[in-house]
Amino acid sequence: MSIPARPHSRSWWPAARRVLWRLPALIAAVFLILPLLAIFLKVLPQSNLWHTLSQPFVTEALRTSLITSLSSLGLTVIFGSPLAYALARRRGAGTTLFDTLLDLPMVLPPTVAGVALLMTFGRRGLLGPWLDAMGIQVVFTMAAVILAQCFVSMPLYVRSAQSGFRGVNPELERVAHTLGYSATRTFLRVTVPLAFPALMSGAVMAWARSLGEFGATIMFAGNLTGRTQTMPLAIYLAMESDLTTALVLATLLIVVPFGCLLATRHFVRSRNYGTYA
Amino acid sequence: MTKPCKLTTALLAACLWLAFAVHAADTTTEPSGEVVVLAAASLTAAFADVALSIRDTHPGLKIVYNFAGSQALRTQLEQGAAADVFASANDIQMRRALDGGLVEGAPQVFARNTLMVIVPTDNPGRITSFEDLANEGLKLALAGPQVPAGRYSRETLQATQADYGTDFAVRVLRNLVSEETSVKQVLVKVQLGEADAGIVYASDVTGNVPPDINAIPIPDVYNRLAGYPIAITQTARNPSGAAAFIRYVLSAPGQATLAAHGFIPVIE
Repeated sequence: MSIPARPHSRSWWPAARRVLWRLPALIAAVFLILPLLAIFLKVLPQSNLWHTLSQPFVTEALRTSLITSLSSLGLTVIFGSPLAYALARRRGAGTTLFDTLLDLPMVLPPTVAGVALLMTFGRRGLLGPWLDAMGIQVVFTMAAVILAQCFVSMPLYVRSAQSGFRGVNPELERVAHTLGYSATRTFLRVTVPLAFPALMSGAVMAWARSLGEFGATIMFAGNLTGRTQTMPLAIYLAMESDLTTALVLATLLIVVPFGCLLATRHFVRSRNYGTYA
Repeated sequence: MTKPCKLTTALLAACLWLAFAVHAADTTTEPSGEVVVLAAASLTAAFADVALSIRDTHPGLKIVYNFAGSQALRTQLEQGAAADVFASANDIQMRRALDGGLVEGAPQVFARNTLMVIVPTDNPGRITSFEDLANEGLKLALAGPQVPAGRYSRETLQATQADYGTDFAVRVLRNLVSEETSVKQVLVKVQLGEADAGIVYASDVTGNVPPDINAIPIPDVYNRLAGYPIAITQTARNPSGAAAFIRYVLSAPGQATLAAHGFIPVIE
């Protein structure tokens, strides 16, 4: 596999090749980091950060974002885990199709997700008359925000959990079963602990995605301070009136998810779970 | 040392001559090329028609639009959006643009608009008048306070104090379920039946009216008349084209197009 020695006249080649590889890598890295850095450089000189953060609409947006994203996370884990397990253990033409369908919400523009949700849960949507009969209106409520977040973030969790479950040897589950563990107990005491790193990183990714959801939310849930206005919506609207507030909120949305992702990675590594996260 | 200097001078002279020649050609010939217009969302249908009819007068002009809430457009200008004309739905966003040195000269008001209440045709909130907006449990959608239509809506609600009572505006705003980012989004939310009512411009329910919407007029005494100012941007790349567009909008055919879409013309 070794590369044959080059003629002496091309001794500059290894150095040039190194540069050729490193330069695009450097450009890519700078391109990804610079915009984030730009926000910090704009925010840090501001002296009234605390005042900006204590504005009522900012605290309301923070509260709304926390409540909705954590609710989405809970629903995602409760409903997504069994789905991921089923997809990990079963194979066939149907599962392949569903597997691909599951990737769709990740690549769909959020606006498509917003329209799709309106056509499903809206008053005149597919389930509209049925929901109406029960006296439930989803659109313009916090429930709509949570649904929008689940729709876009659950696939991320299911994907990660699925590969985690797949990595668990079914033989171990069978052994647990023969030793008298029930199916539920086997799942909770054997399968979940073994797949935990994947579940954990999937959950954090899904939560971060929920926290950042914008397009589907503004279309499906509307925008009202204290009810449906999450941080990304507040940033968008603040851009039109007060750039400083937008910048401060944007900083929060960079720092908090980054901290969480970093902490998860550290936690998973420190437990010798390998390089899952 | 002298030779390059001479060369530079000659080149400079040539450049100047060229610039003058181009400029002279510009003023004498027909305005042409692309004109990028940032226009308030409420102008969408009317200005689309203007882009078609302006070809009769200026066949060389190609009008390109960017429609959004006026506040969003002003923000885009601040962030360096390349545009030739800014048409705002209210004075406030235009004045901010003017104060920020984003537009040139004195903005001209080219159209006016009034507000209307809209409800879905099945009218789940059973609204028959402006006053009904205070009915308890109603789901009302308005444009946000930064959006011109949203600001006018709130001013109109305040203007009723003497007749409907001091708490009318408070009771109406208690029914608010969403503050939309442009007046067109209010229209969509009512059209889908998600909101029981909304406040939009008369021009939004004239011409191509969505079939599933009914409009209820707001009494003139409270109705805040919206004036639309227009101006050339400071960074216009096609100032002659921009000026031609503004002249056309203020001309008889331009005003007729606006009137056909429910706007109140500023010239008879």
